[in-house]
Amino acid sequence: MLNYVAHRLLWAVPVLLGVLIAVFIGLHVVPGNVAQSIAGAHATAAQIKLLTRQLGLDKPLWVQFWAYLVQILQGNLGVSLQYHNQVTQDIGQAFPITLQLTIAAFIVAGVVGVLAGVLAAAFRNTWLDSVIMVLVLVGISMPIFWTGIMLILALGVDIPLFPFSSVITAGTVLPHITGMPVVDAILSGNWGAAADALRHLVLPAITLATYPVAFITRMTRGAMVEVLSQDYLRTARAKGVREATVVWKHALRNASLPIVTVLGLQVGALLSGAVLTETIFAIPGIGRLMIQAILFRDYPLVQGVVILAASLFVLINLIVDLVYARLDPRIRYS
Amino acid sequence: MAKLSARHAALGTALVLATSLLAACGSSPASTKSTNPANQALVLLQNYDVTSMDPAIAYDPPSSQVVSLAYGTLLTLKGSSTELAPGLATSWQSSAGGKVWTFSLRKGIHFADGSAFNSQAVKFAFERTIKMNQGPAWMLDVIKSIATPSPDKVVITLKYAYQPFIYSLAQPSGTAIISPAGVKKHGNAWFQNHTDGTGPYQASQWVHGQQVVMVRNPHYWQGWQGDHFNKVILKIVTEPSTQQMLLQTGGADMNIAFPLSNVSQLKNQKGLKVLTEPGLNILYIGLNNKTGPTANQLVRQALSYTLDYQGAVKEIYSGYAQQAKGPLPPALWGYDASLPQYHLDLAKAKQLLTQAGYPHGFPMTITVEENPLYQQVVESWQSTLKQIGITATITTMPWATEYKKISVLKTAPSAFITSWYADFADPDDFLYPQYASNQQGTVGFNLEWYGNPQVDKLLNQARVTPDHQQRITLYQQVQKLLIQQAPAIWVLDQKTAVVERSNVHGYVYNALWPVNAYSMTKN
Repeated sequence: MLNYVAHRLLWAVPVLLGVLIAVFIGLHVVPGNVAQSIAGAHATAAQIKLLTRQLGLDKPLWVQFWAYLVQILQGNLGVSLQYHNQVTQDIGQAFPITLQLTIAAFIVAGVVGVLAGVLAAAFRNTWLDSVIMVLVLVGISMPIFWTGIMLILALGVDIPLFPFSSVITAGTVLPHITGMPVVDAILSGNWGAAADALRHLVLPAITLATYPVAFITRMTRGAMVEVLSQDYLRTARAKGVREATVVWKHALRNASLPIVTVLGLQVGALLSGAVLTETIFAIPGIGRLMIQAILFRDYPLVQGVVILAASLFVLINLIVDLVYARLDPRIRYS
Repeated sequence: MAKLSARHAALGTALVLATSLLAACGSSPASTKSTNPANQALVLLQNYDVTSMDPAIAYDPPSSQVVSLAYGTLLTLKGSSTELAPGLATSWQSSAGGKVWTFSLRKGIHFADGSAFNSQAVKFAFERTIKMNQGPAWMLDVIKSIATPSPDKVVITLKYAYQPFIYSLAQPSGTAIISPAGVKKHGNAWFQNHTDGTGPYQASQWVHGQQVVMVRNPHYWQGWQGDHFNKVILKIVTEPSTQQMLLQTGGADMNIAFPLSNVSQLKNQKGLKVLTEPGLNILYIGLNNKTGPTANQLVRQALSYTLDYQGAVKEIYSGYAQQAKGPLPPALWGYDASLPQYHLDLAKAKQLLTQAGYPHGFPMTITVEENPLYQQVVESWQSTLKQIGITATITTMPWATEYKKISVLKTAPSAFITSWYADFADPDDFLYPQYASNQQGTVGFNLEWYGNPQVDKLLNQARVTPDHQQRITLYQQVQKLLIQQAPAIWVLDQKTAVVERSNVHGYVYNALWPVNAYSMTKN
């Protein structure tokens, strides 16, 4: 197992390097002068030339790339051209916020999706199954943007139950422990702030979870329907095992491999969906940071965010593969 | 697995319960519940994030908002006008035709760190901006030397006589005065995220992409008697629909640049005031004055008669604009309302084209950046051009790509559409970079490749003429010549939408100045 993990992690190196080269070249071949955009339309040619030199943009592309690579190996992602901060600092501030949102949406999607899928399969071809599948169709069809705005209108404006912008009430100061407002509030014993941060999380988490819930429900139902018709379950029922035990214990465990695969894939979908959700709910996460960085042509920041996203995907895939082995003892890695 | 299902059920129940409990907790933070106006916070919506709090770097509207609250400038603008008013300087005068400027400074002022404001601080701040060479540095590039004969007198000598210099000091970018003691203590990098100025509010928290919280500066020279906000919060919300709902529910108090696409939905909303004010900007179609048929003045005049100006104002800009009359917006001094204005007249256009030797029209290229409003304007223009035989091909591209294309004569199209926004309240800021012949291509912003020795002479003369009235006359002559020679089609002056809640009082709109929260209250 350890060998397998080490092997997979080693493979991540060329993957990340490839991603880095693609992003680096992509950003630099797009027309437009970053020194000009910093110095403004009125800047003199001499000012722009000086700034280009200060930023190291006058050097050949491969020299710039090599310098960047050496810098990354030293754990330094560079300085944001826009915020003039260390990129690690900006990402460190934004990423935990996206992570908190993703975890919340993942919990909602996982719990609701698996539950609904199992119920639909257990009661297949009944009215319950039909209702769930119609809801699934609605959930898959609704764009995140529309869902978000409708939820804000319904539960933020018309019935003002939940706040609908940012992650905590303006002016609340929390110690930076994990960077996730809910967790930091709990860890510092500030229960009022924790409740406030949780209330801020409700609408974005539901918005972000809508599509994955529908998708997971459909996949869970499919996997369960297939398993529920297997002979060993008929045997179990014949032996007098309760239907609930048949469904939840025997069938779900055997249907769990495709479900875990879908859950893993949905983490990726959640991370990309977070970009839109963060825009609607004014959440200062990694998605908003990425958009702002791209608009400003902030090379170091875009590169930093891409490295983070690529690393996350590699890690998630590895975790999914490891969970397979845990769920199905027949699977072995070498 | 039975255990797992129980856990699932418990989690689901807990989630529902937690949701209901949280919903029942109530929504308002303590600060907005206060009945004392002085304890309330003013929440200003920003369309995008602040990028820097350093006055030598801040150049975009959200960053300038922070800088204008935290720092002082030598001069400001009077009310909603473009007239100069005293700031940290009480009086000013120029000599040597605008080459030397002497300022008398206000006494007894302190920075937020408690150190004293004086002429040395002014010298330090200006030299720092020039040395850092960031966005606003070009405005001070004209400075040759700064002398400080006494703590309350500063003498600035320019490289050449330049009257617009005084107006460039009446805006916060690059010219706000930073505390030398603060810079010495913390270093330059600290000021990216912190402030130390003479302004009423200083930054206490900045969560990128979310908000900037600013609190009272106890050393503020105008004092804290009377009603003033305890805090000013800049809330960053990029999505217009979310902004709209925040303003409706009281989650935010105002936005002085509310996205025009959503303004009409806020009109007549209870609890909101919507003001549409003239902006200091101009939307124009630049024509290639050097190559192709558009190099011919008659063709350019003909093209000026082919645009449906009123359609653009009413249909595309939903009435939040007015047709432009030449290269200056009406809100800027020097604008001449008596100048002639082009209008849609295809018969006249056809006649001019025939006179120019193009009776059957010609093919032309138009570039446009990815802006839906600009795209609609050129698409409408394309259809009227077709009626007089001109076949226009529109190419849409990102601004960076478009700029690269139009700033090199070899690749420049026949026409392009863009906007110009004022940096400071002087016609020179509009006319010189766009129409002086030494500003062609990448040097300035003369992307029309226009050149006229007479215009150059007038523009240079206006730069050194001390008499304000005489300057106005010179700029009016420039406008007259430009309208006649039609290097560009000046389409419209876009308005700015200010949306504030009805309980917010004291805001005075100024196209060049952000919100002055110190003079505002809320009930």
